Amino acid sequence: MTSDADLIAACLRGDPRAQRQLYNQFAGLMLTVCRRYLRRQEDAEEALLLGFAKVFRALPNYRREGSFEGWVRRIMVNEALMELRRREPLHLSFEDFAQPENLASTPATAQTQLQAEELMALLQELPVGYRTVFNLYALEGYSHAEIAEALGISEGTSKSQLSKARALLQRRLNGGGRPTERAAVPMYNF
Amino acid sequence: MLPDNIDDLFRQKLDGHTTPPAPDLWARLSLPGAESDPVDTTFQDGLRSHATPPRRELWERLEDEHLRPQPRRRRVVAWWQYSAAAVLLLLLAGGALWSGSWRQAANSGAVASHTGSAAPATRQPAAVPAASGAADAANQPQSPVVAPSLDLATSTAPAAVEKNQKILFPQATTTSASTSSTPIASTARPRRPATAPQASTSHQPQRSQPDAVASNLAKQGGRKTPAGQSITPSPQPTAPVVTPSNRPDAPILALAPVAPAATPEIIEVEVRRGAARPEVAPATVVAVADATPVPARRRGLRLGGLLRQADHLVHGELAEATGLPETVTLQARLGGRLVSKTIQL
Repeated sequence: MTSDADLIAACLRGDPRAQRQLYNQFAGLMLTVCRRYLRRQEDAEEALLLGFAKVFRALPNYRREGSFEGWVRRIMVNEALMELRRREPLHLSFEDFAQPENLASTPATAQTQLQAEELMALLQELPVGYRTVFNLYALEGYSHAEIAEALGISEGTSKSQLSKARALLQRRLNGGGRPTERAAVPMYNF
Repeated sequence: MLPDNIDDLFRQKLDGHTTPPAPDLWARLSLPGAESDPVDTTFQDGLRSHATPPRRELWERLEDEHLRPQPRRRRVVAWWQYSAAAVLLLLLAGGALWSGSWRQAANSGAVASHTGSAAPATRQPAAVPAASGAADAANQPQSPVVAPSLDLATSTAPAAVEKNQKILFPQATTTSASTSSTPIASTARPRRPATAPQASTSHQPQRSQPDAVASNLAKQGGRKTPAGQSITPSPQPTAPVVTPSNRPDAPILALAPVAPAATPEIIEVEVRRGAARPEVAPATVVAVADATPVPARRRGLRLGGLLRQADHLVHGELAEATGLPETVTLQARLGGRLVSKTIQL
């Protein structure tokens, strides 16, 4: 088993087998990342493809700061966001944020037993704005400032989207929300 | 109740009263260091190590479209280059075959005496004696022109062959004096046989000289000039190669006495139309060739003819090809030895 450093060095030499190994090592994880942002599988695969192309191109610029997987993941997230803009442009309606929503949160108890694919399904049912902000904040660790810059929205909008996404997810985790209830969430038009 | 009492009432009731905030308010503050939301934790834990196996085609697409797109294109370009080169080679080979077959067809049917392709040098020397009678030679483009007519005649009737031979012999003498343009005309004949008869009729042989010499000259230059063109005396004198004494076997040739040949090696070549049946083949031609190597100009002519053949092929002029005999018999006398070869075209 070669380390990331060896793998990167081999890839920098243009070794096709190393490129394939790097792809095999990260493709599954990164496809999950892309799927979290993009509903359609084809769009997620397209983002994965373009992301890997960027990874191999930008490999000489990798400065070995932080984990290599984190670097790859960041590239994939950026690529997924770009694909999202192409496929599902965000139409933010800030007035909608003032509308009250049932944000009653109940402690999630059974969610830990949920399988990953069920969680994925829950994520993909979210409106694109909720989903994107929740992904960036809760799962990628972006700050609201970074999210605001990446999506071209204000930090307040980002925070509001996040809280509403959480509330909706929690409700659905508790079985209180069905996918059909999405119509009751007028936050975004896709 | 007095107003003072009302104030005291609200102060007493509300002072120190707390309204419990909504539980998500803290999360909405999202201060750094704040506890992670349980929903966040759920999704983080559930999806952290989750991998979606990609389809196998994705790697192939990645390779083809992003990692190694260039080699594919190069391969395609190389394929086209190879195919173009192959087509060019086929064309050249076809042209070479055509030119060879034409040369043989011209020799068998029309040209009475043919200086073999191997010995063009002898043709040039033949022009030397002719140079003396250059004035007569100017009138005689016939030698190149006559050949095609002979071709046709031989195929049809032997009588015509004899007539042609008669024509050829004098032509040969005149052509010996003619310039290099004459041979060009002669080679042109086989392609345009229709023009040949006119020229042949218009120009009658005035001088009699060895046929072989004449034919040699005719063949050399004949390709480039049209059959009808007049022959100009060749600037380079050529030594006469053929003497009647050298070719006792050739029955067809009525060779006029020629100045003694200076060339030591003489090869007699008979080219007959059809298979190796001398009695059947109507047109028997004796060619006297010298064994000297082919000059560079001759090669140039060959290449030119080859390209011309390719041009004819491109323009669909296949009629010429159909006039070719199926087989040509070539007989050569090397000293006292007779060598015959039948070539299937």
